[in-house]
Amino acid sequence: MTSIDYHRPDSLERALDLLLRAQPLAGGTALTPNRSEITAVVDLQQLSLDELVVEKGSIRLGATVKLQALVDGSPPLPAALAEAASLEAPLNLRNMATVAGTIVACDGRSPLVTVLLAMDAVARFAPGDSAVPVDSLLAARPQALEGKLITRLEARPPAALRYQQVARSPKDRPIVCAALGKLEGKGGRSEFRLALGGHGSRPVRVPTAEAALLRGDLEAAASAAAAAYAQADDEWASAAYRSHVAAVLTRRLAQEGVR
Amino acid sequence: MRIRFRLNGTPVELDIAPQATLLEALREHLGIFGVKHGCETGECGACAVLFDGVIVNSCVMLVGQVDGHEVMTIEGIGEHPAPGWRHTSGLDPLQQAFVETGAIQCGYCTPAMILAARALLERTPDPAEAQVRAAMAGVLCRCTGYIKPVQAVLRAAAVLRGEAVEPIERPLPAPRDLFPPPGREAEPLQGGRGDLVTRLQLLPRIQVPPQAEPRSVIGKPEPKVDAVKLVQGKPAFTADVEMRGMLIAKVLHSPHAHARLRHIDVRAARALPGVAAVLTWQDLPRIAFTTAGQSDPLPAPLDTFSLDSKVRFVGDRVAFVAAESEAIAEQALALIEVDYEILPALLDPAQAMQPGAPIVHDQPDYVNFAESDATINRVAQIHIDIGNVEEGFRQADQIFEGTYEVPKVQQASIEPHVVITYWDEDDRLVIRTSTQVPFHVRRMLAPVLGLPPKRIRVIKPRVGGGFGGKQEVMIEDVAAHLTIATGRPVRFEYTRAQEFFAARSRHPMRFKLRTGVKRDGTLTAHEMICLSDTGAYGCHGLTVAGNTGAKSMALYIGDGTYRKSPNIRFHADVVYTNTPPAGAFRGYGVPQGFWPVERQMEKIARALDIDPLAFRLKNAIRAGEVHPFSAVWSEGREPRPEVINTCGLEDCVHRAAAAIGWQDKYANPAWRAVPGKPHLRRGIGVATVMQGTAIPYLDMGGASLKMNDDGSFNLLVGATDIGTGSDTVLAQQAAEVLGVPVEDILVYSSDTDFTPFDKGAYASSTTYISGTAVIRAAQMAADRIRQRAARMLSASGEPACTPEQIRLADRQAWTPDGRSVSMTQIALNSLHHEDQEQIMGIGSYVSPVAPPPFAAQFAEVTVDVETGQIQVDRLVIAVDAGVIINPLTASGQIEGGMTQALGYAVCEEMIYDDLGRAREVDLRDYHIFAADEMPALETIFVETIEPSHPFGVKAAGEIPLDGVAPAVGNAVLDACGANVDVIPITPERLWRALAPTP
Repeated sequence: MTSIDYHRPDSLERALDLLLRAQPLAGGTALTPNRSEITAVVDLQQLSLDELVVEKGSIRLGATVKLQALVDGSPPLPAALAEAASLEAPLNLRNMATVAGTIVACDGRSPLVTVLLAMDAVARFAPGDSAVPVDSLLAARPQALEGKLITRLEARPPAALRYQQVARSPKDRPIVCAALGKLEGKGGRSEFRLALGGHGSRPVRVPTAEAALLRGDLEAAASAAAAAYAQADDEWASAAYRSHVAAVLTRRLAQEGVR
Repeated sequence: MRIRFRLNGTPVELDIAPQATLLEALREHLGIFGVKHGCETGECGACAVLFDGVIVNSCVMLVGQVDGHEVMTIEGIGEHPAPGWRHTSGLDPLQQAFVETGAIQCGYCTPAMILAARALLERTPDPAEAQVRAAMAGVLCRCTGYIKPVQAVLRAAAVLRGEAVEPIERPLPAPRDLFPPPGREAEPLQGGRGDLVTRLQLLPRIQVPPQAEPRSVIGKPEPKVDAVKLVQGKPAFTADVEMRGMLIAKVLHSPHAHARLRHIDVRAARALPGVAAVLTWQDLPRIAFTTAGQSDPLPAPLDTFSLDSKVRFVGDRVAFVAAESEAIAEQALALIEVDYEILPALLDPAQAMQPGAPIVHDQPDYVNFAESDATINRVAQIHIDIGNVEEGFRQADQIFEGTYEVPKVQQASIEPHVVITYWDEDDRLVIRTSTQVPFHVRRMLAPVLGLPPKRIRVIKPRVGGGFGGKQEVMIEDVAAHLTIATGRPVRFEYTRAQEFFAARSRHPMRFKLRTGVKRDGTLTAHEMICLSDTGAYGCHGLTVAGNTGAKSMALYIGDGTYRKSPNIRFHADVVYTNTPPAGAFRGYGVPQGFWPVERQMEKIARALDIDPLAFRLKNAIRAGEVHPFSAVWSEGREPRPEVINTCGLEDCVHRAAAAIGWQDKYANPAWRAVPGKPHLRRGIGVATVMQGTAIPYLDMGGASLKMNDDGSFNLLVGATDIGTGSDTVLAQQAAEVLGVPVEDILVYSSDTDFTPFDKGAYASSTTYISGTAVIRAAQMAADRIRQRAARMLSASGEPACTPEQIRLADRQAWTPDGRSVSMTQIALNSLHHEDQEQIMGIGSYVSPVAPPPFAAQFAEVTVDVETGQIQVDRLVIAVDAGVIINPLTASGQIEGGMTQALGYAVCEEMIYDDLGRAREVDLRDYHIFAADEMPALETIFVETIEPSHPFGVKAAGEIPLDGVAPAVGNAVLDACGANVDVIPITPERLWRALAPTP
């Protein structure tokens, strides 16, 4: 194991400078087990990126907000977001792991990121405060993160948000999970965001299902979800099973009151 | 880098490499051993600390993150209440509650649990059970099933609020309303997930036979004798020592399932500064051995070498390294160059004995045992015919056939395998190891190391869980070879990943069952054909498979004339594959066997429209009948017929059925429905099971006991407490004989230099075998005490009495007329005053019988018929384990066993890809149940008095593993009509059973 340079900057500017040659260290739960591959870290704990704000038109989650803060729900957050955060990791890890770190390190079996997709969450970056939808960010990892730092996530408070998963036990990682958000779009028109998780390198949104829900065609939405997971085969489950369950969960989420 | 933080309230400054984790800083730089290593990914929580008052895992925190913060460990919480003249505030109420409620088994995760609870109670002084479970869910426990830790936290919370708590005492005789009438007790007595009502019952309900004798210590919920030490996080485990100059060992593992080592170049590794030794197969003597820790002669082929020129699974050993630090050792591994000749791999056990299959063991120095035949990849073959099986099938009105499968699963003790070796001042090799079998380690390793056994000393400290995984002499040779090579102390500890790809596991098996039945439900013949996959090495292959048949196929013998002459066939082929070896795992083949047997019984009962309980009891073996396998099988040794003395199975069935409300729920469509949830169905299922208690004519335990000046006793046992509480129940048996409280018995286990031989912690034997040895030793000492007491009490003109008239009780020796002399007076008299002698006793025991415990296990589930997802809502077990020595430790064993078995039922399995690579290498993918997802658990004991033990005990340690999976499988059938014959019952497996794919 090579030696690691440890830095704990107290300004964003200094952190960004260091990040040109070092990895960001948020909670450390994903980074520390792989520390043999790292030469330098920038500990973010003194950057005051842990603001958690819930306002009428906006939810803002600082990059280093701990997952347990989402579970504790102070200020109150959508129940599905808290539930997904609680399923993301055991308590001791939730007390360490951060929102941004979870997005950076997640695979497809992340309940929290599945829900963030259903909230249409956007990541803000420094330098420059540029905004990138989490969905796009996931697809562009890790190159999109080089030399940059996620400072916060933003989302509109959803009119409704639901999450369900199928797993081997109540707290196991999902084999299939789904989240559905009902959002207020331009002109007060409702929009839907459906995300599936449980497979692959990241949770995915299913725009065809979202469009079907907008039409009120629940069965078409379920079919679209099934199609989205039609190739979702791996050592944990067959594509046939995942496809079937994706449709079931989509139907249930829609019937739960989002429609 | 230099960091500063507050540790347990005291400022600390540390110069440390920044790549160190907080765990490494605490253990290796600050001597804080209450923080334990269980994994490297933060999944197990054994390394938890309070970081600014919040529970976090120190193994995934870089030490730099701690700078400027506050860290609390168990060392900062409480201490022994009486350290000599110094006054202390004693244990913290949380620690005290953990001691009192039996919340500690192995104790490895206890400090972390207490810290998690402390964080909760500081914010929430009056928590609900669900809050307690949520707070502790970051700490995995493989021993307890979480009930007692949750009870401990609730009890401590009450104490901290200033409320009075009731003493934990067992009312004797049992109150009349202990078992309410049927229909009045359908609600769980102990909570599980947070939606259940908290109704705490600290002790299990025990049905006591009318002829039970009153005892003073036997039957009492005594705190564990090691609890105070473990609750403080004292350095009691193998790795909790520091030694000057100790090297760290690492192993290079094979990336290939099957390959020869054409060439191995270790020059660069050896040249790396800080590397003390690099060993390959070319450096070590070639000694064939087996790693299965069993008695001599070993019932297994000798197919293993410390290092070999061939590797046989992904994870097999290629080279050993010892270096000044872990980092250097890992660097050295990376510098070893190996040229592999990759061979075709055998991954499917069904192909193992087919012509043309790759041969796993083609070495000429393979040593056969019994029916092993390496040329066809066969480790063992067992064929047992009892009665006339074919005639039995001819007499059947109907023959049922079924195929079943059980997976490979991991013991997953939270303390990984760990060993430290060093030369002592007499040039004897000391092996300090986390083992279940210290005496087997010494005997079996001696030839491998080129040392006579007398030049090896094996010390077993506290063990952080074993469950069979440490009934293996698996890593001790690595450290020992490196100590021999370097002359220096060496520590070798598995990572969690190594536990998965390079340790042992439960044998996966495939079964074909055929059962002949008459219309009235009488079994006429029963046949089990078993294919067992032992992996790359044959450790425990024969004996595990033998138990699969000998225990699970012994339960149902038929009714009427079949009771005297049952027709049973068991055939097993145990084969090699190029996968990590299987081995011993709690239950030892029997949970495998009861999955097919109990699924088959359920199907037959339903097909014949007979009540499943009545059908089972009609055909189950009873007291007074011959154990059908006793005359034909004894773990590869000479069998001798054995009559079952005690069988409480019928009462177990009735007690457990009443507790779970079977009559109201079974086959009840109204109960099955979940209001407002048309996709959910409830179901209830049952399994009845039996185990064994030790191996007759083989398993031997020894004990020695000596009296001290103050009337206390040192009890030295070779028996190996691995967290089961065996030290405590052995102390209770000694205390009962000697008439003293348990606190006067100082138990030490085990050390091959100091303690008598014991075969070790396996085969459900310690309470029964080692217990009888302890009783014999105590009786010998008690005889000397009585003689001296009689003499002392007959002196000075007092009325004379004989030793036989002396009764030992309450730390006194009593005459029939009420005079007494204290144990202290007797001790001082014997050691110092007159006719001086050391009062002591020795005893050993081997049993001619293996009295089976019996149990009825019930499960309630909720099934999602659209997704196949299962939620197990409740598990109830009623066990006949003979007389219960300690209701806390016994119920703790049962609860923890049921929890392991729950994983076997629904989520635990080890899968390999086409190249033989493991899917599960951490506790994230290999999911074991956490505190906040448990179903309600309830344990009931139905005591019988086993005449072959002085106090009437049988075993409790393994039987809870046997029936959970089939009870869950049968509950799933009850819920939705689907037969899943492969475990774990994953959502996809159930979905396919519900709606087969075209």
